[in-house]
Amino acid sequence: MSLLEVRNLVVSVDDREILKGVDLDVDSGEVHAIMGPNGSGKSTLANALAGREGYKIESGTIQLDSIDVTALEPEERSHRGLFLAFQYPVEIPGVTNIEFLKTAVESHRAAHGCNEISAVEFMRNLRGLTARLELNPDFLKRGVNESFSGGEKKRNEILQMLCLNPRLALLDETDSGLDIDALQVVARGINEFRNAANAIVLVTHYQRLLNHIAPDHVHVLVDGRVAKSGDASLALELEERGYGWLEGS
Amino acid sequence: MDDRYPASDTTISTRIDRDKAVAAINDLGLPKYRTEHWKYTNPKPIIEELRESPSACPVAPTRIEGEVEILPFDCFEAKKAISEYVGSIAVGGTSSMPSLNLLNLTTGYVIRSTDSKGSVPAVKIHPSPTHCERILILVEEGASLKVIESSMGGNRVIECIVQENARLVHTRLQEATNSVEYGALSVQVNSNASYVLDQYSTGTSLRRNEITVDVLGEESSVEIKGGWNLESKSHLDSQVCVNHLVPRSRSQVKFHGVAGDDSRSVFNGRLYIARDAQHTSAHLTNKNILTGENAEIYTKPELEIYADDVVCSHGATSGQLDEDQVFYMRTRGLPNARARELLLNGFLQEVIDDELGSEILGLKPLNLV
Repeated sequence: MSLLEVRNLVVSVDDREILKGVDLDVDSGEVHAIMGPNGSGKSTLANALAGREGYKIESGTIQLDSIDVTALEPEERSHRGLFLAFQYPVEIPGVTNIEFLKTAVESHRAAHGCNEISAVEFMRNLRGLTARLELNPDFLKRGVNESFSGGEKKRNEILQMLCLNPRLALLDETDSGLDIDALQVVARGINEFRNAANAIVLVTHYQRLLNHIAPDHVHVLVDGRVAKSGDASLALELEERGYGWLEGS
Repeated sequence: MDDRYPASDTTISTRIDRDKAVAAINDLGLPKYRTEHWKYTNPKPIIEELRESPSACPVAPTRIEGEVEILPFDCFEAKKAISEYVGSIAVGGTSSMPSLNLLNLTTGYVIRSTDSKGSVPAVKIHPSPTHCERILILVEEGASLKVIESSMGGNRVIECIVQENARLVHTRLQEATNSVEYGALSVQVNSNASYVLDQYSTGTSLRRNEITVDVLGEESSVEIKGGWNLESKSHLDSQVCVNHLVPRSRSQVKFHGVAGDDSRSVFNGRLYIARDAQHTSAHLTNKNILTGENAEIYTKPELEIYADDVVCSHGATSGQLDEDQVFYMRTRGLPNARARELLLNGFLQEVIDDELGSEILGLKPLNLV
């Protein structure tokens, strides 16, 4: 049984059908890349998997670890191990990064019946993670994503992912807005996270992130359907030929 | 003397300038519902409360640290300060309510800081519900003072004079109560002086705040920040006015409010820049979040500028919580209600002094001393 199993997923936004029957199977230990032209439904898939309001699931199912999560609230999906790194992380002035991270970790622990983590242990973990992502410790005292650069916002998404240690990480265009150095730091964070027990789904436009994170499978989304699936060589072919040859297929 | 406002036979009432107060009431008239300054708040319960006798003894301000004088109005040493200042700052303007306070006083204190060395003296002003109270705060030339004030109903007028090169830091917590509260705060800021106000208000059946700051000296600064979180049928009306009357001064007014349930929030903020007040920098904002189906927000930021070389801005917003922010938090595992709570606290935390923020917003019992 796959870690993530998506069957014939049809999703509409504002009464417009965006996903027209998507199937996806992701096993533990795998990295999948979802590619496709603008407007093909990549971000809709990521948002629908995370349970965003307004993304209406018309039919189909989403199973995580053999549990049907299609009707679950976003936080319940999170507690079951799903994590969405946003393409455009929102700014939350007034709530510090550290307060947000602590509340998120506590919410997960509470959902799993664990005791509160001690402040000392939490801080020790967090300091280690910020160092790995080359983030200044002062960064934790700032408002969530408030006045962060594009690179800092994406690194903050990875920091949250590492803190919550999900079963399935959906990374929605995590490479956009990153310079080469930041891309390497982010890719290193993702690679360090990768292990046999979890899985990663990368939503991306470009091959460049896949140069750093080798995918096991590549899927091309065109007009709300998976038009083609293949191995890492498909991404290279797309880079060369574009998406035109898959449209109408 | 107008016989409609007979003087009671107390030391306090013989020491204040009643004529001026009576003249102000005759001039402005009694506050009236639906007039410009009382458009959304009925002043009747506030005026009626003045007729009630206090049900408890007043609580005098207490010294927390440093050298500071605290004098009741009826003590001999307070006489000079009272005759010189009381009623001269918070009388007139647009509201006759401070004058009604003066004519109905049941308690009053002078707080004076003359210390310019060592640690900053600090004073706590306690709640005096059911009392009609007036407090005169004098921060003399070069001195500093920290005032921690809490209120819980009643009628209180505070007059502050911040002399040249002096600094007054004022923290104000308006606590939840079922009674009516009126609070007027009038401040005069002189050259090179600064006045800082951090205010937080919780819900009350009816609370009216009138804050007026006259900037009288160059190179002075005024910083006023505040937040409120209204629930059930609370009603809060805030009238804030900063008058820049001289060149080269700065002011910043920033209020964030949350209106939930069936509450009503009224804010009227005004920056007045006189013709001579060139090179003024003055900014005012009021942001509001509505969380209650039946809650109401009325906000009006105003700028009145007669000088032609100033940097000024004003703005107000009213809206709901940002659902993108809520979703973001929920994807990190925060339950819906917790995400909303954290966002609202964050919104208020932006304007609440760090020192008090967590305690106030956590609504834990506050121990400021």
